[in-house]
Amino acid sequence: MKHADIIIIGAGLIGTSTALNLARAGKKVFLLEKESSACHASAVNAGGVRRLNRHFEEIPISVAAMEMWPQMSALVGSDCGFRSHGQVHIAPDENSMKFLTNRVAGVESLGFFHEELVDATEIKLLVPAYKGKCKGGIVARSDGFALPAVTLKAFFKTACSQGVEAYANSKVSSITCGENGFSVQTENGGLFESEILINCSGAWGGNIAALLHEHLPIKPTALSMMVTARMPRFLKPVVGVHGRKLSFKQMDNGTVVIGGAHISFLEMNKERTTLDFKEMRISASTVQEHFPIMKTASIVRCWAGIEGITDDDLPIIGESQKTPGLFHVCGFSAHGFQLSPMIGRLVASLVQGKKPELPLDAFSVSRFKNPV
Amino acid sequence: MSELRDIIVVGAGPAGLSAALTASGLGLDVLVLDEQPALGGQLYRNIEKANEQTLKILGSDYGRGRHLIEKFRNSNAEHLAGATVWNIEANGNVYYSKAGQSSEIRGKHVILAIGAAERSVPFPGWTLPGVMGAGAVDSNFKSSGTIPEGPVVFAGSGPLFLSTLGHMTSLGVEIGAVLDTTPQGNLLAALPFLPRAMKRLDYFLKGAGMLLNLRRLGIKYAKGINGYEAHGRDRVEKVSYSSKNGVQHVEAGVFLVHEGLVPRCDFTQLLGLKHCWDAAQRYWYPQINHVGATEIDTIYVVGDGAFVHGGMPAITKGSLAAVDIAGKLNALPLDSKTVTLAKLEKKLSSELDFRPFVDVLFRPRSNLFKMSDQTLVCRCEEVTAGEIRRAINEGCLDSNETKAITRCGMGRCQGRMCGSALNEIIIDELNRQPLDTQPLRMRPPVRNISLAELSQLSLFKNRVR
Repeated sequence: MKHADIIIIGAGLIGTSTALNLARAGKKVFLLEKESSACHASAVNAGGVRRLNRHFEEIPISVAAMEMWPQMSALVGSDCGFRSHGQVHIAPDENSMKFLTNRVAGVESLGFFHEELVDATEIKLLVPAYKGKCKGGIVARSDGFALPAVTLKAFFKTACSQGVEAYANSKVSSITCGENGFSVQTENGGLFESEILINCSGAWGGNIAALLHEHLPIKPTALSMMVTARMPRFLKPVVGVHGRKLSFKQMDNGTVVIGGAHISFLEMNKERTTLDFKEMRISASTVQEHFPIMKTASIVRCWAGIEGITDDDLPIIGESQKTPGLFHVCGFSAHGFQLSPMIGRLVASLVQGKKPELPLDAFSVSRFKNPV
Repeated sequence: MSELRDIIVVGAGPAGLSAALTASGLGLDVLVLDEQPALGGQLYRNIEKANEQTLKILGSDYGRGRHLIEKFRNSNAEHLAGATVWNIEANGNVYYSKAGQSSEIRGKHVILAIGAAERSVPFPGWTLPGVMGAGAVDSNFKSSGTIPEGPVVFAGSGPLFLSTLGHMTSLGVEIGAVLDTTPQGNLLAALPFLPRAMKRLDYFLKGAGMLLNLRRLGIKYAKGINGYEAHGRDRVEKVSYSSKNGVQHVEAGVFLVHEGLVPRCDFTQLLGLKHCWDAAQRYWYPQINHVGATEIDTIYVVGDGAFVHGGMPAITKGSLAAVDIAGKLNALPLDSKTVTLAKLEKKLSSELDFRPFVDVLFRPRSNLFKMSDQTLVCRCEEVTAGEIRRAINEGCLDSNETKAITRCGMGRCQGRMCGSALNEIIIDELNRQPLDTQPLRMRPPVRNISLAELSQLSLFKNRVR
């Protein structure tokens, strides 16, 4: 039997960042991971570091997180491969442009000015290789991308050096909640106790909640990506096209990473994803249509990562409605990567009973009907 | 072409051809996909066009393929040449590229007969032009009759090493030196397996004949070599090698290296099948049963891709899988299936008499992967052994994590060249048992295809899963 102040389930980036912040606040933390830290979406996602086009509720956290990204070396001893080449979201037609114009007005009315409305000429300058339709778009010039595996490793290493006790291959099999707190049992025979329990298990968030008979509306979804062999440098910012399933970036080494939320087949019980090549074909067509330079690009690898998606595409952050002392921090719906350094800070305050620097109320599980 | 076939065989070498003709002989609808332009795989490469001189030099191990291919030609099995398979799914879906067009096809069963590859071992200078696999040079000779220009230096160990050496001496290639890396203690360890192996006296006579021939030709033959490096400015000019006598040098126009064959596991790993570790030969091989069936009902593995046994056993292994599938698809009554399988298994067992002796005799040297920090391991992403060791010392625990951090194995070849070396470094640095390590995860496409080709991928109209 091992005892800590706080147990965190899930050593992805959200769990690790939370663990790091709690350890720095002097708490004893166990970080339980069913496999190894770098197994799933936290280490294999597209690595977008994006404030652009965020849900309004997320903007304050995203903007605060953005201030942390250029300072990563000081925070976790690695720049995490962060490159600030900007993010661009292109409006292919008048309707999209109208929509984006209204959006920027909305963002500005909240007091944020990172999203900039630009015309077609400016898009041409920013993304010369783009040959699709264009009526303008929006830009966040200091957004960019980072290297997920490197980021997770840096957070994990720093967390451990700050005293977090991480347990790999420790799949949680049962959780009981008594007067003295939580008792967590793992399949490999571990038994852990704490007053506070944080569910940071991403796509598995619903499974963990179910162990305490709580329903979380998180749908595991496998999102596909592909990467090409190195190409001559032709693109700096990360590019998306409004209304099209396309997310597109060229890394420093010349490889091009293509996403766009194309869904793979998923057998959650086996944690096995099978790419849907009908979707990959669509993805390849979309890329070619907008970036003809990509026709001859050589596809080296396609893969899918398992993400936890909620009905409204917003994460679930907050104390359980059913079990006091249990906190859910999961369901980031494929856009948690950029937020994670800030989420760790906010959740650390929240679970210590302090008021977080930024409000988290919008993410309470109570927003869903009949969640418990 | 019909979308659903009884059996799709991947690879047209001895195992694939045998599986295909056995299955089609039992009335099954068989399609063979093979990336080579001609039937025969590596062993029987280009044999239908081989001239008398080639047949004489390559001998009966090669010539035997003619008969097999003739039988295949007379069978009802269909063959698609130049078809490179780049993805296989557990439900039997196979994706292949032919002449720039990719298509999907499905087999009720898929027989993987993709053979073995030369073990890729990084050493200083291994990326210099003029440094090649010995087996690759043998293949070139089979396909186009080309031979390397000397002085050729050979380094390595194993049956294929010796047979290539034999072919090249018969062809009159100028050989600068032969550096035999077989550990000298192996012979003693292999002795217990000698009596069973003696049934194949012909192999011993062949090997002895070849060594005598080297002596007769006055070719420098050095035993007990435990390391080598290639040197040169724009291409290899010199090879240095070490033994207990210290470091020596020899001039080289071409440097041919061969440190044994390993099963090609790209597709079995892509499919997530269980793999076992062979401690003698130090390689992963897919876990199969006595007829080549895997834990996925659809998928069979035969030939050297299942375990490196050589050509004759590959032919038998191919037939075993075909007969088993014929039973499953009701093309063969149970009693005759049982009888046929028993006969084939007996045949296989006798064909393998020689193998334990060979596997121990040619057990790789223990320092095979003990490369210096400066040695380039991943050619695609230019990652050195030192960078890999640093990542491991900074907390990477397995090859996939190390790959994500260092990019070793992330390039065009998806780790086919560097995967073994990466895993061996992990075994060494973390003092792991090989079975406690994980080979690199494979992702489709296992062979690169262009984005334009993917956008034109031909798929079934009604896709079911």
